[in-house]
Amino acid sequence: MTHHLEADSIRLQFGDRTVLSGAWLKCSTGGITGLLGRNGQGKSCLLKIIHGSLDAEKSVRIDGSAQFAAFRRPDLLQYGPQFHFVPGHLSVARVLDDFGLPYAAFAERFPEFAGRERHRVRQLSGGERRLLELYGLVMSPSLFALLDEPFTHLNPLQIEKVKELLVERKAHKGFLVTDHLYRHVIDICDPLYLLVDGRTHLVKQLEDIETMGYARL
Amino acid sequence: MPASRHLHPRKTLRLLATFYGSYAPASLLLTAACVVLFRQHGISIFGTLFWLKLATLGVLYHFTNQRKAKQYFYYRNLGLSKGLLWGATLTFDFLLFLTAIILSYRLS
Repeated sequence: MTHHLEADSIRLQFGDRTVLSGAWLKCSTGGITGLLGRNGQGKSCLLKIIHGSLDAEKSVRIDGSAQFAAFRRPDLLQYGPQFHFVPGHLSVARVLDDFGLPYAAFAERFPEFAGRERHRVRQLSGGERRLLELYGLVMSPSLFALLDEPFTHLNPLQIEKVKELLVERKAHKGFLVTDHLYRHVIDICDPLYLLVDGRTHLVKQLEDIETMGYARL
Repeated sequence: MPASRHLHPRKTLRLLATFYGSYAPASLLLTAACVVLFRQHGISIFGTLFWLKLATLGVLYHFTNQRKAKQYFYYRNLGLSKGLLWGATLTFDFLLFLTAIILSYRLS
C-alpha cells in the first residue's frame, strides 16, 4: 500500500519578512522527493514545519489525516536535522538498539564500523557520526523520513553508500531530502521541487533548475 | 513492517535515564548537600531547602535546554517528547529529594 504525505498552504513569517507563502509538496512511500533552493529560501524551515517542530500556518496530512504535530508520531514521520543530534556519550550499539536495529547488519553494510560497537558517538568522525544518524532514520520502520542535508559531512564514497541505502529503502518508506549537493539529490529524487521566493515549484524538466536561477547544469 | 506507535517500556525507561543523566550529577549533589544541611539544622530549615531545590531545578532546566537542545530530535525520533523527558525526570528527581529528606528525618 502506498502512503502519502501532503503539505500545503504553508505560510511562515519572521517579523515583516515572509519566508514561505503558500508552499506545498507531496511525498509518497516508494519514492524519494527532493527539495532544492538557495540559502535562506526556507528549506529547513519547511521541513521543520512539516515535522511540527516549527509553528506556522500549514496543512499537513498523512494518508488524508491531519497532522498538527507530526513529531509526536515517530511511527509516521521522523526528522533528521542538518546538525548532529545523537548524544555523544552513547555507544554505536546503543544508538542502533534504540532505533531497533541490529549492529551486525550495520557493520556489514559499513565495514568501517566493524568491531566498533562500543565506541562512543563522540569518538566518531563527523562523517561516521552522520552515517550512524542517517542509518537509524533510514532503516527504522516509520512511514516517512525528512532528511535535511543528509550528504553534509560525508565523503564521496559515503555519499554513494547513503544514496544506495535510500534507493533500496524507498520501497518501504517515503523520503523528503534537501541538500546543497544538488547533483546527488537530482540523481536519486523523483519528484523534485524547487523553492523560490517562498513558493515551491515542481521541476518538470531539469532545465527548470537553471531557468529558475538555482544552478547551472 | 509497520512501526509500533509506542516504544517498548524498557527502552523508554532507558532513554529517560539517559536524559536524566545529562543533569543528574548536579541535581544529586545538591540533594546530598540538602540532606547534610537538614541533619545539621533540623526541620526548621526544610522550607528553605525545599525552595532552594525547586529553584535549582529551574536553573538546571534552563541550562540543560540550552546545552542539549539539538538532542531533543534524537528523543523525538524515538517517541519521547520534551515534555515527557522533563516531566518524568523532574518528578523523579524531586521525589528522590523528598524521600531523602524524610528518611533523614526519621533516622535522626
